[in-house]
Amino acid sequence: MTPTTQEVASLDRVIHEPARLMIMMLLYAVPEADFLYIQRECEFTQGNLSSHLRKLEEADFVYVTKMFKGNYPLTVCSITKQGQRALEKYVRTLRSVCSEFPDQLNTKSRA
Amino acid sequence: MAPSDIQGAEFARRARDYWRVDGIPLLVGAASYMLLVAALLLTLETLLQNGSPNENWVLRNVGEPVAGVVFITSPLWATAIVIWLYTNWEDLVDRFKGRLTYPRTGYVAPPSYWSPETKNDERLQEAIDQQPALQRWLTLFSGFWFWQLVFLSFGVLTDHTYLQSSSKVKVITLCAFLTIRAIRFALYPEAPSALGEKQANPLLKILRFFRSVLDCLWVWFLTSALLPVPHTQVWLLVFLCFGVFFIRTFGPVLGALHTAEICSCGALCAVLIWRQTSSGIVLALFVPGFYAAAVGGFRLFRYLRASPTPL
Repeated sequence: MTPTTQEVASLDRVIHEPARLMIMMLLYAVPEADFLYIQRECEFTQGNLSSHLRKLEEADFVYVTKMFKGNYPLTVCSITKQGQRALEKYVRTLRSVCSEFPDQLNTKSRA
Repeated sequence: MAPSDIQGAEFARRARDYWRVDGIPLLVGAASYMLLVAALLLTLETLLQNGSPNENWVLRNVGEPVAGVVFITSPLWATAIVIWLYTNWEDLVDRFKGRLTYPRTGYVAPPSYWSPETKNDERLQEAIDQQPALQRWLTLFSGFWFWQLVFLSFGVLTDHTYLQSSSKVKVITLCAFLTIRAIRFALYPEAPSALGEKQANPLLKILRFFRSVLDCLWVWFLTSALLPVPHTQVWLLVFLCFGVFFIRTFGPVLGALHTAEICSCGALCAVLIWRQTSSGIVLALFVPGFYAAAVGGFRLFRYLRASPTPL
């Protein structure tokens, strides 16, 4: 196994979960978004999203705050600097691992 | 890794489109435009008619004590309205969205949060700080406010407005203005939009360059002042340019307004050509506002039907 392929083991497991990856990608793309918007975009249930956000908040990847717009309370989430760096590292690693994949596949099919 | 590598995803596009999906920005934009046109018409009316009670419709129809105050202060509050709209436009939209949109389908930061200045992204901030001094100076000298200052100073010093000055001065001014803008955008072209325009095509680059150079109110203002038409028609052309400028300024925020822009300007021209009456002219000036209001109202109606009650 090449060193690049071994990097798979170093992937951040908090981000690696598909639902959390989706939340992270959404929050990376926008400055801030509220709970309802994320729930609708990612099509999660309230409980599901809540538990994933808690895990991301515990890892210090996401910052959650409560605010008011008019009379309506909003739970606003935004990605932290640490979260941005972690996601960028995750995507970089995954890309570099995947770039090796087609060569291995060709070798296997030739053999 | 550049931020755009991840920001170019579907999420970013959807979030940006989300700002205008309910039609509220268009409605507020339309209302602002019509308010602005009304204020400017009133100002022009008071300024051009010399305030004679027999000629001025404000003094004739509203009554002298009130009209007198309006007459004297109208340029001031017209300017105040313009400044207020420019600075508070997004807050106004956000306030309406806070009542209608966010409780129904959620909240995403408004467009100003997306700009590099407010997004607080270190890399983007560094890129801004690294802007060359020459670029900053050229941007200043090719901008609207610098030339506004020049024209105002010229008007005050010579006791003439630039529209009344000689054609030679206007031609020289226009050429100087265009040259500075051309140098600025040739050396430092405008960055393509975040939604990923094609950069490789040379034709697109040339088109973007000319768009950048000509996309300024003063270019059209000076050009219209050079046209050999009677005085009132010059003012109409100035108003037409003002309408286009207003829509272009708010266009990126309001969304795909290119069709609205073309249609409203076409309608405006048609009314100006076919009806030379004062009511026709006033109606023509309000056409872009009516059009934007209709589109915005339709979008809001559709949005409220799709999301009838807050979740």
